Amino acid sequence: MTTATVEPKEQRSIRTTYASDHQQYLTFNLADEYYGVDILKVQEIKGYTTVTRIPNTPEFLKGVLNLRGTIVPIVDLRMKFGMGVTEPTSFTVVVVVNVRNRVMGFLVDAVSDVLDMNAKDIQAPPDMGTSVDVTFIAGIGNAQDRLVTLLDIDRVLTEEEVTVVGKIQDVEENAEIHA
Amino acid sequence: MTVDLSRFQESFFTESAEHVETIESGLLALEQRPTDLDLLNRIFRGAHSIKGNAGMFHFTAIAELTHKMENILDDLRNEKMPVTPYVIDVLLRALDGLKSLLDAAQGGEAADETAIHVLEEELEACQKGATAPALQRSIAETASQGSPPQVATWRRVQIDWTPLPELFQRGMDPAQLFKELHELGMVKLLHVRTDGLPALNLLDPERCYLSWKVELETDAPIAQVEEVFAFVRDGSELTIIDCAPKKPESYKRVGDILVEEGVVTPEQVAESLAKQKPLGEILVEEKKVSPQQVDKALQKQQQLKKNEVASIRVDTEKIDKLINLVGELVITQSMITDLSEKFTLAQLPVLQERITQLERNTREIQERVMSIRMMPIGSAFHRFPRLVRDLAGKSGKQIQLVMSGEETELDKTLIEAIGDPLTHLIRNSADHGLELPEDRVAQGKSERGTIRLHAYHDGGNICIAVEDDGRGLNREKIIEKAVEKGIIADGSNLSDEAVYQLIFRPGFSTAATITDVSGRGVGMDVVKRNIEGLGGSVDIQSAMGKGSRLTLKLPLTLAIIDGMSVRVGRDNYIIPLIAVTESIRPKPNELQRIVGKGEVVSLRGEWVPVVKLYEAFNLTPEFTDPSQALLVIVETDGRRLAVLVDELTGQQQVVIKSLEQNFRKVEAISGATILGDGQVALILDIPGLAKLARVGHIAAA
Repeated sequence: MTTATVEPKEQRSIRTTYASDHQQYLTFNLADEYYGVDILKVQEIKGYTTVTRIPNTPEFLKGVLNLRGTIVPIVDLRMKFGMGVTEPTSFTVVVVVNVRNRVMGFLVDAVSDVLDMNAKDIQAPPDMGTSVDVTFIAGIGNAQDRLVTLLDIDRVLTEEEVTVVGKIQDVEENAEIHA
Repeated sequence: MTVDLSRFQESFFTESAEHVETIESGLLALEQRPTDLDLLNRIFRGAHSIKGNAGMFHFTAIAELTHKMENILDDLRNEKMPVTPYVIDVLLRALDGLKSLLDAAQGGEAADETAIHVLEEELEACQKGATAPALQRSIAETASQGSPPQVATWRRVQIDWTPLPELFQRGMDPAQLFKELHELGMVKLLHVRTDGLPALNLLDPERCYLSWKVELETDAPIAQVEEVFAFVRDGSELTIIDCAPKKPESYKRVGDILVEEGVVTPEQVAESLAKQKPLGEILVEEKKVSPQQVDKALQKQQQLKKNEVASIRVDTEKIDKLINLVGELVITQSMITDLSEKFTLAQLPVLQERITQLERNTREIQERVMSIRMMPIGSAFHRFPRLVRDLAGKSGKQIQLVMSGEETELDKTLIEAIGDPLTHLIRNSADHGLELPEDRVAQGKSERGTIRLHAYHDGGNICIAVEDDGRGLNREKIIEKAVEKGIIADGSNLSDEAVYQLIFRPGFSTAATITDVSGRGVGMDVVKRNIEGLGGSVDIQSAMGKGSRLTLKLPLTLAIIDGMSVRVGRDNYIIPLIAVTESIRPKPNELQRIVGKGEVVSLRGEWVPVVKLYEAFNLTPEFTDPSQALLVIVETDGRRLAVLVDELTGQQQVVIKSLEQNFRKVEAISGATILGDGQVALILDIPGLAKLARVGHIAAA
């Protein structure tokens, strides 16, 4: 198991030298696509081990993992984006992020590097119509001639959480009435 | 010299609270067994300790009131007066006064001084009044004993003593003197003046710099008091003042003066006094504040009160044991460290042995630590006999309270939290549930109504049931009221359960009359809210004319449980061991289907529904046929369930981890735990599983 924590000291020094229009992103691969998340949201990167499945939850929820005594849910980001199941390889890692006071893990195919982005290099997410949900995309940018999709990590999960929990509660309430 | 007394005061309050508890339960028991001298002694000791300690901290009001109680208790003990319900009543009321004084001293709301004076006088009157008839009777009965009551000869002696500085050199010990004084009577006040103390560097340890002021209450002649000081008199400054046997008439309340002058009767005074209202009610009536604001303030007050007592008294023995165990743990750990430094494979058995020892140490420590927080629920029940007695007295009903399961252990925080909800429920039962004796007789029930309070463990939960044999919930009346309040539409077709749940709505009360006990429509909603706040639920069962039963169900909040691990396919789950009754592999002929779908298994003649874990959780099992797999029989809510699993993989203690912290609640899962290999296993929530199975059934139907 490999655990690489993002070095906070270095990160801080970089942030002080750059103006506020710079932001750092941790980039990773999903299949052959290239994504980035705000590095300040990332807690650590963890090697992928088997997870414990949780019954009756959406498919993209792989299960839960023991992270030094805390139970952390793991989301298969490829499943979430409708890109099929992640097949674990030696590069597969879990990006542990802080989302609205919760700790969650994202299963990704591989992490690549930390990217400095200038705010002017970031485009607003293109309007893709109804075919693609862009609510959780913060913007798109370029890095070494490749397109990076920058994720608004709070949104990727929040909407799911809200809807899923709501559904379950409805079922429970109905059950009360029937019982 | 100032000493920080607050630290000692704190323990005074804790101790006093315990003594008050002892006295209260003692008095109630005494009413049943008036001749139990041991009991009386125990009560006496409690009162005596409070008095002594209160004197030490200059809580004179507390000391005085307790002293008067003690006088009566002493008379009871010496059989100068009999134990009558009246005496118990007076003592109990005095005890309430004492509680309010203690609260006040602890920084709570100031106690009602007039009320305290009424109590004190009542105590005195009781002592005198009850003494006389008792004596008469005993004279009539035995015609031999007839010593006059000694009450009147009690006097208060004030002693002011500044000894010679050379006191110690003469071989005198002041403590001895005070001990002697104590034997003569009650030392009500012992004040040490320390102003004569020099700075530490000038202090000669062999000189006495202190002087004392003592107030002694005694029935011994003054000469005897003087005798105590006979040896230290020379050179000391000593004044002994013999106060009049009775308290000087320094203070009299208006009511008493009026009664004495014959203007009003004591009953009239009492009646008027009863009209005094709490400040909150007056403010609300005068429209200065809203009831909500008062409620809020009261809640805040309650909260503040709660925050004060956040300590547990633990036996030193328990702590010593714990320290010993920690010592052992440290030794084991260093042994393992030592071994690991120069480890060869040949030493493997030694390592294994030491790890076993470590395991044993850990488990023992864990058990001991948990046991510190666990208390028998009886400590939450102790206030109810009194409550029921008072309620019975007020309503003119005959009520007997039967308690069981007091030994059920519960986390201390839970015990504190369920006190209020339970009080509400018992009040409700006594006030609304039970009928008046004549109504009961008319219905062919016994005159005396019964309230049962029963605590028990059920499938990893703790249940507390409050049951009465009264009139039960009136379905029609509840519906009528709910329609009137616009909570439900007219003609709604609701199940009994749903109807009963309506009484938990805020502001809902079907009581025809509002008494000062209940019926104001606050209470049940608070009960439900409080219990749900603790992660529990409230369940109602009721039968018209037969009674009702409310069950509070609380989760086992303890962080560690005994679990049985089971496997389904490649997934592991933990079933709380407390829910498991047995596990079986059924024979094919013991399995039956109902309506072609629901499967049931015969368990010694009883048909138990089978819940297939792989179906409920969408898993891939190894076996689908129960006769090849295993059925774990679990019990919840008094119902049994057979859970189909592939295999039992072991039994172990598991630490409950929250799923909700980073995720959310999952149906039929109460939490997660981490297994020895670092993997996460989910803990089954058996009642939730039962519900899930039921929902599945409904959905399928």
